[in-house]
Amino acid sequence: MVTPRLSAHLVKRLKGFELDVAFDLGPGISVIFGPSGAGKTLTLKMLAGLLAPDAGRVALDGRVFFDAADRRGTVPPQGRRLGVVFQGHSLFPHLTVRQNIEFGAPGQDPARRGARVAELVQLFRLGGLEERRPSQISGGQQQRVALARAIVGRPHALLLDEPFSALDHPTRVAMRLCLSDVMRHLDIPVVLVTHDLHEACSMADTMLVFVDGRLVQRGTPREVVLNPIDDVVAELVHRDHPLPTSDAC
Amino acid sequence: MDDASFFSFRLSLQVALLATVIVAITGGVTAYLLATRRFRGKTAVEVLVTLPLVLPPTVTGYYLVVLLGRHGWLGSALEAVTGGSIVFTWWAAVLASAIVAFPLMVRTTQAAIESVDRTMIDTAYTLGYSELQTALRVVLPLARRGILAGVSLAFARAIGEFGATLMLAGNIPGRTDTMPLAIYSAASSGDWGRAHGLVAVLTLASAALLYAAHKLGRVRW
Repeated sequence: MVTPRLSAHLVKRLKGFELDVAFDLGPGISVIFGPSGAGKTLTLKMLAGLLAPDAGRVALDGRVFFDAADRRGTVPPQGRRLGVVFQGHSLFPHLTVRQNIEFGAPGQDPARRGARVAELVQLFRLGGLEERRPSQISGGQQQRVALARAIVGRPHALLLDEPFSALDHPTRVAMRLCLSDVMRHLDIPVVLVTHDLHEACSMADTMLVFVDGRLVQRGTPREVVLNPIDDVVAELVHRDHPLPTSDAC
Repeated sequence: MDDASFFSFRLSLQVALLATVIVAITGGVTAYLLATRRFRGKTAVEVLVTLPLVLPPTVTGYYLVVLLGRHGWLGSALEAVTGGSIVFTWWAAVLASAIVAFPLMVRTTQAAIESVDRTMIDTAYTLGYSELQTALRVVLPLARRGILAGVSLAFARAIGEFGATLMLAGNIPGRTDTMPLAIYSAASSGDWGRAHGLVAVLTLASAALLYAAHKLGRVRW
């Protein structure tokens, strides 16, 4: 099986802000880390096709989703087969847990979909909650449902926008473990956006540091924390870790 | 209830229900487009859509007469095709009611659709759902309470329509005298018994419908 690679060059000019980043990501978890306003969510939205870049190119495993030179060939979000989990609660409140997960696999044969949903319910430890509404389950459970819904349709890449930011600390730690566990079952690029260094360090195979619309450093979490490329990155990674040690990452 | 009153009651229900169905569909689509699209002249469209809400119904009715009367550009074209005129028919009452109720449906529904979290819509798109599928499976259920409120307000406005109906459909006993017109005729001719009865029936029917719509809309997730 060919392992998909996600490559992107994204340029977007907004009032008082310009994003210009380029990266090529393989399977595993790539964390886009940076302060608020660095362009992280903007990047994710453009990868997902929810926002058109002003210039650049997006391709997954050679299949071009967007090319500024051929805008008519742009693939809409519906055709990209990307699993996306947004910040906060994006579950459909009018659907049960089961219906929310099933929603992620439109048009699939009901029997196959049922088996797949049952598999994910077990994987994400959601047994017994299938008929509940999102308002009747905890924040951590809600995000597990959102993850299950994002991967039920067997996406070719997974995009996660601060998926755990609304959760309390113990739940967040549990969710990171859960996600890492699930990722072992998938062999696709996962892009996780966060401004939380702990999260970046504990999740990332590769860390991409965004500052002010630019990708300023790329490396393993250890490389970034131990050898920040400049003072700005040093400030970012040492703010939470006054003494960068091997324990930090 | 005497035969004439029963006719007015039946005609009012028929006119209001038909007007509500027309307004629910056209107003619903208009509201969706206004809530989800950005285009040049959008504010002008919004003003135009809202205008019947603030204009006296006689003014709206006047415009309709000018437009749809035998010498109106739409009325004359319609007459050339169908051989008849809509003016002074019960269809005129439907049209007048629909035009006057339209802004209530659009404004209420537009607000309800705009309040649907954009993340829900984006999520559906990334999961492979087209805009139409997303509108039907996500936006509609989530905006349901507001849409129902719009529909019931439109119905309430349609069943109580007087001014524009009088201008366009006239007050022809046994043909276009809806309940509000029949009440006006009864009261102005001193037939208070009939007026009382019609007022009571109209009030009860409207209250019952609003109550039902309120109950239907009270679904909590």
